[in-house]
Amino acid sequence: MPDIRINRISVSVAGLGVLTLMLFLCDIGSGAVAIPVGEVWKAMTGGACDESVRAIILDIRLVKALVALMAGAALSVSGLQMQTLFRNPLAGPYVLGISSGASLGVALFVLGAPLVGLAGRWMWLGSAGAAWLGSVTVLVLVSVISARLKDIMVVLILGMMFSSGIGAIVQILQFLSREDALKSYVLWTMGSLSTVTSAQLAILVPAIAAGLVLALLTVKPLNMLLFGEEYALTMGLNLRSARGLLFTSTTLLAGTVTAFCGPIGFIGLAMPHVARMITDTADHRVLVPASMFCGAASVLLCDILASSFTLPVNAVTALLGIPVVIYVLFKAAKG
Amino acid sequence: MIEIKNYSIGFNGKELLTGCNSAFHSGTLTALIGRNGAGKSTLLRSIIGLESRYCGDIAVDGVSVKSMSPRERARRMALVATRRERVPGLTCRQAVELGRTPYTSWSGALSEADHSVVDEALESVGMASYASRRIDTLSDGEYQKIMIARALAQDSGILLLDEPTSFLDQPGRYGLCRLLAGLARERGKCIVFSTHEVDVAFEICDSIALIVPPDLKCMSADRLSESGLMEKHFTTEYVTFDPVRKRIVGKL
Repeated sequence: MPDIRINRISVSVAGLGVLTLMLFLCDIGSGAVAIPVGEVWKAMTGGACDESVRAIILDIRLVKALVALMAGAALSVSGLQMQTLFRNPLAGPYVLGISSGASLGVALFVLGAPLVGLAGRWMWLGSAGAAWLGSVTVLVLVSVISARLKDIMVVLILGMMFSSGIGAIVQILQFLSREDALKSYVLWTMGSLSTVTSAQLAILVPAIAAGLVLALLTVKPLNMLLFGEEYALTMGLNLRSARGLLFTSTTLLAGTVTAFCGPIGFIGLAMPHVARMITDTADHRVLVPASMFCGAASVLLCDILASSFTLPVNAVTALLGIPVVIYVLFKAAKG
Repeated sequence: MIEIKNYSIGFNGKELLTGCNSAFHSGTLTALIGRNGAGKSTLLRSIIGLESRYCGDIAVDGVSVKSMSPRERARRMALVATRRERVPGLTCRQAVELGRTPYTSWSGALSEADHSVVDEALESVGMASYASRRIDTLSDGEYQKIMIARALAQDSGILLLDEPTSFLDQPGRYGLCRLLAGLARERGKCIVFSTHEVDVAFEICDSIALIVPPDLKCMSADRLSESGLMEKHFTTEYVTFDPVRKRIVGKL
């Protein structure tokens, strides 16, 4: 194996890692309140500084930066898994209906429960819990059906149909609800990295970490799936456990992010392609870590822009992601 | 070796093959021929384990295919399918390396020994110089050779090919079949491939399996050409089989 190629790839991935770290630090340093770098450093390293500054840096910005880092890595890896499993460059983390399930859960919680007077009883669940329940329910339904279906394309279409059906139900709920509940829901759909508390972080980080560990285990099955499921079967892949592993990993990754941050679009779709372009390989042993870094770096960048200009995250990810998607489409059309 | 015992299969209420008994031995190249829709692909897919909705039994080296785990099947049999798969960004070498997956660890990393097998596989199909090229850039014939190299890297005793000559030109078809014949003889592999190229089959193969619905008849090329079965099943108002020239010819 030509050594030059391996070195190029190692350098690219290492470079992406360094970029991610730098953006992480930049994200901590940026926000609506201008705080000089020296103060940021003192707050992080336990030096002497103003208590309010320490509170902003550690309780708000550090948490937000960690969320951005994990969310980006999670969505990007999940998107990569779905693109390879479905052999579709336009697949993303939400093709199985995770985002729709989450939106149904949140819609029922924020819009539906008040309508039937159940609001008080379900408060403990929180919108994050409701979103998680919704995602898992849709995932279980899709998994049960996929176990009976040989053709993965049918599973893809089913996921999309579920999403559409759920979208219709959510629209009805929106139509029937009060202004304040409606705005609450709509704000959720815009995505937010700053509504995660330190307590919630204690759930988010392990859940995504678990998803990423599983994702490492999916590296070999994903490589085997490059030529399609039939070839993978003839090479010894246990399709049932591979699908199960992939679905579980993706739910932990995309489901957790959506539960705590709302549906964040485009990262999962665009970043695997950026990873492919930078590392120039189809080998998932390289693509999984590369996607992690590309995803983390891009969401950190989006957060830096969003918090500097006080914009919703989804708007920024769309503006960043759409040019990438268009570029991918053009490249695919040419070749 | 492959043993087919009392194999029956049918779809949508129609029986395709009934009570077939046959054997394919190591060190032989067998062509599986028959009219369109006779069941050639179905039979190959049943042997490799992609199709399990059949009655009867298929055994490889004495062990029933249905009782094997996917990994065991992968170590004993490799498949080259007809369709060309688009995999952007994959190099020829990486494609062949995938053939080693039944032997690699959880991450799929290859050992020194695995790399030697891959090198050797590329050599045997004459594609060693193509190692770092992308498979998207290859012609159909070159792609087919890489897929055969991948199957060789799988180091299985049995190689099954489903219409491998479909998209090749005449010289390409002969070249491919000669390659397969060499592999069967020199490495003792049991190679079965389905094809429509009856003339190539008779010229190069040791034995020919003819699907005569609902039965399967397997015998040496010479015996088959003298048996009258080819004339019986390949004669239409326009063509018939010529037992002397051993090819399908137009009727005058």
